[in-house]
Amino acid sequence: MSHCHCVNCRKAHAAAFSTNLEIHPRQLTFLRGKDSLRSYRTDSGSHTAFCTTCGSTLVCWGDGDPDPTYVCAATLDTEFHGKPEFHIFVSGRVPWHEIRDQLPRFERNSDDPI
Amino acid sequence: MNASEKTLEGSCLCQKVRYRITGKVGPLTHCHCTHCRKTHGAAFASYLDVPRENLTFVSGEKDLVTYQAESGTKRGFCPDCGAVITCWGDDESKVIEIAAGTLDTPLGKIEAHHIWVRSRVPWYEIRDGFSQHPEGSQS
Repeated sequence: MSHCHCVNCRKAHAAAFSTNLEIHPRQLTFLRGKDSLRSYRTDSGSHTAFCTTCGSTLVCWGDGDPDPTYVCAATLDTEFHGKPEFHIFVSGRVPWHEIRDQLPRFERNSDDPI
Repeated sequence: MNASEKTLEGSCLCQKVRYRITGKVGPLTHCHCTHCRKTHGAAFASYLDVPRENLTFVSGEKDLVTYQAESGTKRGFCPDCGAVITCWGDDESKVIEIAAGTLDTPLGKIEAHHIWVRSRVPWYEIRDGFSQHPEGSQS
């Protein structure tokens, strides 16, 4: 689970940052409303799916993934006590939100070579 | 309030909706309520108070889809990329809230506060020193 400060996440979620819980696609089942989802692909190859009724962004994935590989943790109804592990794309963070925890920070993606 | 009162511009993710804000804005409200975090799919939503007369849409105003939550709060979002742009409670209100995450112009120093913190997610701790309200800003 990680916080992403990239401009695409910031815009898609219209928030300071997104928090994404990595999953295996097999773990995700839509109980209802899958037909209400619409997806959007950014120029950088990230995809989000949002509800066409309320705009809620629920899942995301990248080019090359046939199915969602991240769940937007804030949409969970079940109380979730997992902990975010790091911040990515901190170079894109907004000036009005400071990162004040001690989690590792990556300028770009966590697996980008230095 | 935004001390510099500079012109602010913003847009949704796909650029269908673009807006411009002039004049005084603020404060910035970080809302941790269930509706805000679900709608945004984020730990909290951050809305900038803008007098309605200071907001102009450069494009896409008529494309915004409105969703009204059970509380009566309305939000406008882009139907192509899902980005929430606007939030308001009363159609007659002189102030509209703009989702600060959609700003393109960097926002300078601005007064901020957290509301509905009693609903905050367990995996995000508020450490920024801004005031926290268990429910609305009057609580």
